[in-house]
Amino acid sequence: MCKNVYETITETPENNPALLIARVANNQDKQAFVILFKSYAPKLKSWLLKGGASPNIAEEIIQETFLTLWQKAPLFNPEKASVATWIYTIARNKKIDKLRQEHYPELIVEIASDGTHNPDTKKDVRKALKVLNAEQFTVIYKNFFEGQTHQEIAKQEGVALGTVKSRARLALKKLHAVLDISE
Amino acid sequence: MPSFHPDETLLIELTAGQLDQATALVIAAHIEVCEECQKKSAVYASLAAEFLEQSDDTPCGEEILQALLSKLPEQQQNTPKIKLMPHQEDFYPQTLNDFLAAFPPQKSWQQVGGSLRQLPLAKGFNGATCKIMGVKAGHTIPKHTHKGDEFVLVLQGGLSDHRGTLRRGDFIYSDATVEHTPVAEMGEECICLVVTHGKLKFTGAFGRVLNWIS
Repeated sequence: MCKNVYETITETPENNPALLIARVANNQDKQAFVILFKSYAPKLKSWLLKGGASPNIAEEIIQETFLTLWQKAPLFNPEKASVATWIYTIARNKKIDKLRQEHYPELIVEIASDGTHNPDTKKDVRKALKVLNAEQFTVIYKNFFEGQTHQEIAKQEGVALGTVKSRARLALKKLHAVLDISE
Repeated sequence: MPSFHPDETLLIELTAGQLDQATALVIAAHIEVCEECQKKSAVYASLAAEFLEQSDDTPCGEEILQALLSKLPEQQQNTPKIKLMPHQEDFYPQTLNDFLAAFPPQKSWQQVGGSLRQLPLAKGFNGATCKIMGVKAGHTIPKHTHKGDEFVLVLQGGLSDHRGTLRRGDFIYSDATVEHTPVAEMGEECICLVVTHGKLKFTGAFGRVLNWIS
């Protein structure tokens, strides 16, 4: 059964991840599940290794993440978050669970469906990131994605903590302006 | 709509996974009831997700996928629980009820003096502790300062100090520089979710007794 699922995979970049999740949710579609695994697992692995996990632990976290994705697919709501956001959040919580033995809450999001604000689009976020200069980008990247504190970033970059803080402040100001959220 | 919010640093730290579980719980519970903070956290989470999508690929062994496929359960999680578990309340944010279900409190409600009761929940890796606290309607918490950071999220009723009146969904942060004498609003017991890094330090006349029992 597993072999068939695996061998019939055709990877098309057009595959819409939200539709793949829907196929997992509605039909327990293992082929859709495999495509999702193949697109996101290698990225999660890079992220986990950067965050200090050993390759074995990283793979355990990835397995647990995808097990949860399979089980919770019916609860995924594309209006509230993108697939990448959803997967990132699940993986982040599994990572904290594994590395720190702490329980991180799942965010319960009920954004008003008035359509006035939908920040979770790749286009907006990419546009916003483009306005950052290299130094600001580095601070945001390391802070948001690698989970480093301003103190750790300052040490790595060889600059004062105050410098990191002001880069972060300016970066957020720019991001907020482009993404149209109040400070 | 709440009028007191966590600093955006806390929202970012939550997204980046830097908070301890006790602090994460109180921030996440606020986000659940605050549309404004939901919008911000959605943005922060999409930034992290965008970085993930742009990440390099590190190959995962095929055996990982095969192992996963061989153990996918038949049943998928679909129906939310309806019945309340012990200590859960229907007016609590779901975030808190989920936490109570996953980690039932080890102790029961404790009475602290005549005005306060508390239910200890969880500790964070950095020594933060989380509890649900009840202040009787119209009663006062004696004047105190804080040895470390304190986060308060109001879940029911109201609580006032020199900074204003906090109602359901309001979040406030106090540190060692804040000395206050919060008063619960009349009407109903004020129920809060409280995270403290270090104990309170009572400074008023009855302070010594309370420092000892709290």
